[in-house]
Amino acid sequence: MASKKTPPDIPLIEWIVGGIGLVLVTSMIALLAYEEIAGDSSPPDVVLKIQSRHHLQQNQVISVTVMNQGGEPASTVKIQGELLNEQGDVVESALSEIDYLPARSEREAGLIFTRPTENFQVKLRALGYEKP
Amino acid sequence: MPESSSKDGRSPTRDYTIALARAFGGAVIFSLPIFMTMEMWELGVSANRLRLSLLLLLQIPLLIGLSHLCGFERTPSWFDDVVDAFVALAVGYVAAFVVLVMFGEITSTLRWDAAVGKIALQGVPGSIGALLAQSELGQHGGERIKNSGKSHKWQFLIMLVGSLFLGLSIAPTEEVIMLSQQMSAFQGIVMILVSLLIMHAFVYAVEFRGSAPVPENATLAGLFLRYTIPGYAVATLVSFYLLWTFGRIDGTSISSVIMACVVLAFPASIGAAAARLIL
Repeated sequence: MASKKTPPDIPLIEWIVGGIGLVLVTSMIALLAYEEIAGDSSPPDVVLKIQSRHHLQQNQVISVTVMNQGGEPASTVKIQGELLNEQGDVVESALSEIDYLPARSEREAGLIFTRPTENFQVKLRALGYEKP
Repeated sequence: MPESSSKDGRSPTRDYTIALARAFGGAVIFSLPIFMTMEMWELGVSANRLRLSLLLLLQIPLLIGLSHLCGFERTPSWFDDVVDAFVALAVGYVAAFVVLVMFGEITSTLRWDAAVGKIALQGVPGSIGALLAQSELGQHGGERIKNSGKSHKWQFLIMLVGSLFLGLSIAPTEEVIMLSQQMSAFQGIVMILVSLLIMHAFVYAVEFRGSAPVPENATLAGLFLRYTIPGYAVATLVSFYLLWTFGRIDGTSISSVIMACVVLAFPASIGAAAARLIL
């Protein structure tokens, strides 16, 4: 263990820990560099999907998965849900807003209605967003 | 315990009471920023219970290690360190309880689990503060083991505590996610490099009081590889862990997660470097 070239020996473990750190930091930089050069810069593409429906004491809630399949993030994403009857008329609508929706990420929102949602056709859409 | 008593003719009980009062002072100073952060109150209620429990469990070995470095008393044995760690936890929780009741954040109408969540979360920096108060505000400065006497692994514990503390104060805020959204990947890379530079300069180059002395056989590049780089990695992992604990990165793509970690690692890495000077 005691090498004569470097008097107070630096233990191997310190270099190993340093090496692990180096791999982590450089891979972060590499990933960000790749993102910068080859990254997808398409506008936010907000896709909505019904996840579940629940009966509450006074209302009905539809849990909605809000996905951003675009390459850019969006903030204050407003989403709307509408209940349509058989004639296609809007009976009721509900709004929600997602604070931040990063690129290729998903968040959850709840839309609250007073009518039993099973009896109607549910139409979901994103109304707009802000560029962060 | 007996060793530390009657240094200046005072009884051990009196000494201990003073140390305890000092610990409360430390707890309050260290946790005031998060006591007065709105997101932190909400997270106490909304944070995932299992993840919160994990944070509470993990802070125990951390506090024991910290106590070993600079505790309430000069601790000769690990058992004393364990005792001191739990005293620090108690101090942190009591301080959090008192302050939150004073703020009207904990009221009789609040559900018990919400109150427990708030106290548990706010008590984390408080208990770190309680332990540090002894080393930083106390009179035992002269007896402390100096930086040079601390080995490699202790340096990493110190960096872990420093980054956890500063990271914890900032992780719950919305600004972290907001910044990571508005910054470009290029700005993220710049932030990594600036964080590394600040960390290294803090500890080795700008010669603050308490700067780590550069060992004879070590080159600046060697120190950078052995301490600064892995130290930054620790700060980044702590950032990731905190963001995960607070549910800030659930359902988020990898590159957005990395950006959020980079943003939080900026204060966390400075916390890590500063801790090496202060402790």
